Amino acid sequence: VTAQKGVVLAVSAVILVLTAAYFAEALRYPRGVMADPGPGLYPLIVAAILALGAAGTALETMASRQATTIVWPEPGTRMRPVAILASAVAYVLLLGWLGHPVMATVTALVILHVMGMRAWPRKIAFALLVGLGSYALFDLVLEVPLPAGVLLT
Amino acid sequence: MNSVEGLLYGLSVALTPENLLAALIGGLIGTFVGVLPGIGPVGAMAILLSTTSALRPETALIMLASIYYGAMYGGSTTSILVNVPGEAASIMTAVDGHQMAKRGRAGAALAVAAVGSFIAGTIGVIGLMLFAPPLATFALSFGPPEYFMLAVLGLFALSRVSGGSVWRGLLALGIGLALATIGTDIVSGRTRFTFGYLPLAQGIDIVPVAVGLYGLAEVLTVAEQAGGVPNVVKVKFAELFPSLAEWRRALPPILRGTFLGFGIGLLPGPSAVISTFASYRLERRLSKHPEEFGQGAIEGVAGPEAANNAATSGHLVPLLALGLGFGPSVALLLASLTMQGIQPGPLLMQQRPEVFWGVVASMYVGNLVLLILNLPLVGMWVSFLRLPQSILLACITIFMLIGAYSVNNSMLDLAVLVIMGIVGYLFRKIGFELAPLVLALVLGAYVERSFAQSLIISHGDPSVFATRPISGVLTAVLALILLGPLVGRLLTSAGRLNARRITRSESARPAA
Repeated sequence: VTAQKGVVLAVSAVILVLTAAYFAEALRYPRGVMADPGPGLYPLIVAAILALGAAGTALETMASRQATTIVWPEPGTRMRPVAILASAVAYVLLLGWLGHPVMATVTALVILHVMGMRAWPRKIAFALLVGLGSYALFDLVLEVPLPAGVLLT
Repeated sequence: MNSVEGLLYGLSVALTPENLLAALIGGLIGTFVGVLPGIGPVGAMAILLSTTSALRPETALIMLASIYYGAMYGGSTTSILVNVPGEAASIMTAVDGHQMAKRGRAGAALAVAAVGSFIAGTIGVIGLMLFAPPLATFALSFGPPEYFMLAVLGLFALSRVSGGSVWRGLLALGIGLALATIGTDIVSGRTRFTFGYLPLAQGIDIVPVAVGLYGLAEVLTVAEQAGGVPNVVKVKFAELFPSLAEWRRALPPILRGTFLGFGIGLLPGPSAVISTFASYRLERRLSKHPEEFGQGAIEGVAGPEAANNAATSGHLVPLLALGLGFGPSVALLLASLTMQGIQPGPLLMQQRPEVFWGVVASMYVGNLVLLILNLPLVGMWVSFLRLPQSILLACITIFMLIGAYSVNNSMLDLAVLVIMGIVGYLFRKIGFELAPLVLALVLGAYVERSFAQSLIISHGDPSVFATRPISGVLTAVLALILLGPLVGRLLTSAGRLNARRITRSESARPAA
């Protein structure tokens, strides 16, 4: 359990920093004149909305007396979101090289494992079914092109 | 084309085999996700958004809308039989519905919920037919300033009502608007915020953003909860018929819930959920036996179930008439239209009548299909609750990754999906509403173009947004939405200060 206040303040601060970068980049584009606005004018207004939202959220959170907390996952399930995210990141990074059949099988295997499927033969069979089955369905049947990877090409 | 002609034309569109199949598939998927706790209708719509790009616009919209109202049906099943609401709009149904199930009246509760939903859905569609065309005709007189103010009003109203706090809503809105500026500027043709990375020139696609914020974030949230197989009350087909007395008690709440739900559905915010709470409270107040509420009162099932379905129809009025969405599900329907290259707005009814009337008519057909299919298949739907969460999440995750990649065959979209998944998960934890972000991304380009056009036609005079009659009214409403709570708070604190002063001066006065 973490106090929500600190996390909201941290998020607001990160967004303020990103807004400053967005604002600096927006200044590089021509703003034109009011009768003929350039591509730089509207982003400045958006930057103002972002800054107002982030600063307002931070100030409101600091002024708040509510002790709201964030409940993070229990120790037993804590690694599940992390592992699913990590497998999704690996899928994104390695899709071009290893292809969908391999990466989808690996991703499915990770999810089945962290979500509590016990027997390895069952886990591997399901993961292969999801990985190869989804490739067969989308790429071969529905003709949605998915990278095959170095192993299959 | 008047409403009756429009509906007949819409029926000819909705009853084509392709659109009937879309309504059926959407309804079944919706019921499936409505039954399962965790993955809600918005998540399912987001996940399937990419697959609809290959369909015709009206077919895509019919399928997504069917998912939405199918989920309303499905949610009530698990609420009644398991006491686990499949989605938020079924929370109130669980209160009395499950008590009825424990008393052996599960079949009656399910039938009343399904028939109530059907009646409400049908009357709601009539409301949609009556309200949307005149609103769209009125909006035809709008120029760029009115469009701009209308879109801004819709965005700010949504951020105001859904975020809880005006600042958080504003922040989510700003993020969506900022994301919409990435890529090629539609007015000048110049690329912005690409930092030399070429794939960014095409902009940030709505599909990976929506799938990440609602789909992946939902998967992560479901994954962290320890899942088990719930105890399910068994129902036989013969038990699916309420008694005459039960019908007599259920019908007035169904009608009241329908009108209440449709009215609330016209307003911005999570209207389906709000309408169920409002209907439940109304029924308890009107009931001759308020003590039965919470113990298995059939009115407590009939009213809220009708209200959430009617709210779904009400929610579609601003979408189809004005091209505005006031909730996450409608934002996704809007995204589906823009993905198909259709500019949502008042011209939709004239330029694409097959989309407008096809969707309206498909809701009649879809509600009937769901009624016929869902009651006899209750046992099958409940059996899905026994599906291992591990297999379900693995399949959904892979489907999301394929969906996000296949829209543009782009690695950038996959990266956006994962980043938005993290943002969505974190924002849920800290109580930020995501709908303004998605809606701002969908409407961002439209808002910017109307803004630029307004300034060009007014020769750079920003007062154009306040001096034209309609945009002036919209500006005034916007000011009221933004400043109203602040003024209210100032008046309250001034009143409190005054009361304190009076108390102090009275206590300082010597006793007579």
